[in-house]
Amino acid sequence: MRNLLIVLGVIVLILFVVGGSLAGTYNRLVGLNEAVQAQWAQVENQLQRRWDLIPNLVETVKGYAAHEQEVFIAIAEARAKLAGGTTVQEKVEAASQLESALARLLVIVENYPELKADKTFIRLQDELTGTENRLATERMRFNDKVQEFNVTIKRFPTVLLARLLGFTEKTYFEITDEARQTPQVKF
Amino acid sequence: MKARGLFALFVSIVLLVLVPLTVYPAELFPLPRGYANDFAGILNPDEVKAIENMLSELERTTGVEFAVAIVDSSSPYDPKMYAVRLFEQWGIGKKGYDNGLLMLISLQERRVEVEVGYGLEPVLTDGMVGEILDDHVIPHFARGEFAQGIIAGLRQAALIVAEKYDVKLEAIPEQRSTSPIGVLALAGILLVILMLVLPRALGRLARKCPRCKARMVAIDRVIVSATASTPGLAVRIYKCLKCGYTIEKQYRTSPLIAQPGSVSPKGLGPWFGGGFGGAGRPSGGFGGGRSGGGGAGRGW
Repeated sequence: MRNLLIVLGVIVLILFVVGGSLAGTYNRLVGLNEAVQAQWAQVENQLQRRWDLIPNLVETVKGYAAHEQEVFIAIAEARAKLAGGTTVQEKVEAASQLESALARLLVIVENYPELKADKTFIRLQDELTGTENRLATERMRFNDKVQEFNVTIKRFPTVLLARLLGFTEKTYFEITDEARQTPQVKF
Repeated sequence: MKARGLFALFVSIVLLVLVPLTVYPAELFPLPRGYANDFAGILNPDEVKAIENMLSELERTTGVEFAVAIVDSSSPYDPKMYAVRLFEQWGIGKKGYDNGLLMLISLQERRVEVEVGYGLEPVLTDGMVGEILDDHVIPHFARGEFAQGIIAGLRQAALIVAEKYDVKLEAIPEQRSTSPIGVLALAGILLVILMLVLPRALGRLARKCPRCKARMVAIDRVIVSATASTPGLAVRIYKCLKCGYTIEKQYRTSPLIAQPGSVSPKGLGPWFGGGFGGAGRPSGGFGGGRSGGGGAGRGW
């Protein structure tokens, strides 16, 4: 009788502790998940900002280099794709496509000294570079958050619970090799 | 048999509860010395003072925090990323307002990067920052006149900020170094001394012997000395002079240098920092502002 009571007591205690740690783990994962999402919103802000800047930049370049049709078309296509993208994956792809198209535009710019000296262009160029820097920063922070999340759910013993609670690994915002080679236009 | 199963269960639960926290290695950036941080040693004391005076005036009048950092090299980062990280570490600008600006000069890379806090982005757009660099900073830097370039550039940016906040800045560095700042600094120092001494003095007097109700005297003794970065441990011993009854209370002493990223000392509101300008600010004295890569950069 006494033994039974002890066993029951131990079981209740165990349930209590397990329940507590389950709740704790779940809450922590929810927190990390939210952090990843909030940071993704920051990334999207910057993608949007770049998207908004591009028409101005393209117009200015067109004023000096109207015949470089190919690159303007590539930019327009990538831009449309970015606007149409819904999932993180689609947006990441469209963003890197846009990035490489912009990189080509900036190479072209090198051939037009008057364009490079144009005040409006310099301003736009600064805004664009600033946006790229912001994007790089927010992307870095996004990847940090994703890493934190992924490491947490893969770590023992959380790994036993994460899947059960419906948390799966998240993808990083990687930049393609093409986009990585974006020539930084330096003044 | 049963006990063993229970034990195994118990061990796994303990493991679950004690999940190790993810620890990332802390990156080592120098601690801020004030508004002007010449880690490469290219400015003379007068030039540093001129920058300090200008930027403390800016903070006093607008709450906006500007900082300058001069480094030999930004490696392993490129200069912009270094600026982003340093800004993050120092927390330039007031918390919640994110109204900071960092001018990073990286000598080996021959780059100047201006990192603008989130809150200042609409005031100092990337285009404007680029123009300031082109018109006021790079011409000086190209001739090796770093102090002039820094002062001219920051002054231009400060004027734009001041206009936005509708305040008039003297902004002429050498002036104003004595009267108002000196008085403010003195008032600030006095206040700090008062804040440090008063609670201690009160603490010494307040305690009465629980046995005979007579006054007790307090003696402080250090158990573990505080280092630059870790807190120390001390004990305060209250002794009744009449009956010899003693009470001991342990307490922590604060690290000698505030940790990077920590907010200004407790009790001093975020807006208080300005009063310390000119006199050199305590390390880690920025307000906890954030930035996200905005601003512009140039090579020379």
